[in-house]
Amino acid sequence: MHGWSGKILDIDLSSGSVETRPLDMEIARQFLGGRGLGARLLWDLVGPEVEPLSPENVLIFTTGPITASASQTSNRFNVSSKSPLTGTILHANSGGWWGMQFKRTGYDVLIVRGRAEKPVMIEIAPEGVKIADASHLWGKGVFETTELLGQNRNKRNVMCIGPAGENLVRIAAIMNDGERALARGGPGAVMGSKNLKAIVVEGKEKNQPADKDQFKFMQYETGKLLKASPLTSQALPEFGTAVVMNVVNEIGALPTRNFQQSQFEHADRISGEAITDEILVKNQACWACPITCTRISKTASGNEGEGPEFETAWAFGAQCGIDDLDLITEANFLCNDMGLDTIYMGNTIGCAMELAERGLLDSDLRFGQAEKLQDLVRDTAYRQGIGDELAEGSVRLAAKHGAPELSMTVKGLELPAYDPRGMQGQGLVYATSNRGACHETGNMLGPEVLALPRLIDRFATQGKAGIVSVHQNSAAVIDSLVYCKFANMAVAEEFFARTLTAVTGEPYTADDLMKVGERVWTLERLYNLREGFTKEDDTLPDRLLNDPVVAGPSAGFTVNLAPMLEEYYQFRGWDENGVPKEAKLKELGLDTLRSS
Amino acid sequence: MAQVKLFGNLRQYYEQRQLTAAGDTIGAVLAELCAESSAFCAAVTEDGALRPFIKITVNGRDIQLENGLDTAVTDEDTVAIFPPIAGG
Ligand code: SF4
Repeated sequence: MHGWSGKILDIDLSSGSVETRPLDMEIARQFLGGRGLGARLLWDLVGPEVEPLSPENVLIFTTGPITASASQTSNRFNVSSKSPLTGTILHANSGGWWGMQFKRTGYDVLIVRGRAEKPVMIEIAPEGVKIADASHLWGKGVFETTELLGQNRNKRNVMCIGPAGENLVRIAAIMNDGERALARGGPGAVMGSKNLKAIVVEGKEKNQPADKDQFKFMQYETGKLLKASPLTSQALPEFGTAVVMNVVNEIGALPTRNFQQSQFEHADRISGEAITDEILVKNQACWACPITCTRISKTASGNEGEGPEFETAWAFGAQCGIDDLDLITEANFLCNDMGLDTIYMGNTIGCAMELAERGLLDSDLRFGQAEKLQDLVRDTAYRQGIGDELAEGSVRLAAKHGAPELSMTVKGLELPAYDPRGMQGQGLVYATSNRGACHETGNMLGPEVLALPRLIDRFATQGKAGIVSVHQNSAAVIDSLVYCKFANMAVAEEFFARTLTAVTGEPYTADDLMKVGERVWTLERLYNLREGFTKEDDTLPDRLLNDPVVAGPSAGFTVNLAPMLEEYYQFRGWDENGVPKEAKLKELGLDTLRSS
Repeated sequence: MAQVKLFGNLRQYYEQRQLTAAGDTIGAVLAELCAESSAFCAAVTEDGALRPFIKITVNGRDIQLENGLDTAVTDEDTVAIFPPIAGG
């Protein structure tokens, strides 16, 4: 195969049928793979009538044309579905090894439909595809399941759900290679609703470049760039993703105690520097990645594992008013074993803490109670006690206790670790992100804080719409190739285009890639519109729009969303209600979809 | 004297994470820190200018959007100096 094998593996767990279907290569060229291809296939398969946890919803696992090519960071893959948490389009991607190994089985895509009568697992190997009984694994944690199924990094890779997915917790993740997560939007609950415990892959095929010499040259050039940049050769390996904790705090954009403040007085204790000084054992890399940003940490109790990443350290840390790095790390490990999205979990615990402190939730839960984290995580995964409420997401939790405004969500998805009152562009990113509040779909940390590629005023609103749109399109195409976004800190889209050309033998330019990104973003928007989402959903929690930050460098600011949103719709070629205009759809080749 | 906070691998050059400096501009503060550690100086500056991706804030405001090395510093201010960082 040169980029695409041209094959979709289509499994219906209700009937037990296993089919191989051809991938429409016209669609593949238009959407590449990963998130884009997933969105395009989902458009045809899952309409507004489908309830996310019903057998009619599907899980679409997609690789990209560069997956498994050995281009730097070509390990990632994507899952697409309809989210049981938000009802929006769901896309989530993960690194590690599984995506590379699945590509080696000779398929570009795996579609899982229906619902098995009892717990099953899918095994895809050179000998064939099997649906096997998994009753003996049901109830087991991710770590044990992964080991029992024979995880072997470069040969046999396991993806599974933990108790959270089995118990249909709406923010359950799907875990691959033990500790990597397809997390946001609750894909683990969809997998649980299908009675599907695990998918094991073993492959022998190779994604060989059409132009080997050019590919090798691009590998060499990419390697040089990654080495030359202090971001990818020093900052990420030395301190991991949580090295941004202190800078985000210093500028007054670190959400603290459920976004009541924007600076955490103990940020340094939960930072990348603290992780490196206190708990780091070694770094680790995903397959074919020289950056090695992953932390392997060890807690006081002797537990060892991956994490914590920035988002996790923030979610269980500043968001909950907790500065105990050891217990934050334990909660992270437990989320991995239970199969839970850490951003969601910490954010929702912070919401519960505020509800309890205000006397709206009958609980002695308080900000700063690190010792309660592990019980809360476990209770959520097993839907016990207060955990049963946490398992439903903070929108439902806050509404149930009469304070919907305390849910820090957009379109039902929990906000990540940046207070947009100190980063106006990030506010627009959150408000318009198709899967709900998300930093991965166009993070403004680069231009608004880190000066990547150059610094812009984080408090300004004018002109932000264009920058946000370009970032969103870029993230969408990187998620479709699929590369790791950290590589993009040193390697520009131009290089990705040249590598893609070398792998597939088809000419791509950076402009072509950005057009794919825009197409993907717009299709996701069409999907949400078809689901009934409107302009009214492109908003932020009340607190961020109306309560100025009380102290610190962002004091006095709220998010001035309305003018940015108006400019954004115009920039994107959408009407005043946020609906893509016909001319834009024609330009992107999406006009036939809307009428279909 | 302004408070100066160091982050990331810049902490290796001094015994404390938090220092004080008397300079009345960022340039003067850096000169004072450079006098104490030439290794720090080499990590942060090159030919009298800041190295790429070095970030300096005064009370959370990036000096790039103020007056660069001429940004004024008073005794009440907090200066934060970051090496190249990435993540999120
Ligand atoms: S930069 Fe980090 S997350 Fe990305 S592929 Fe490399 S190790 Fe994995």
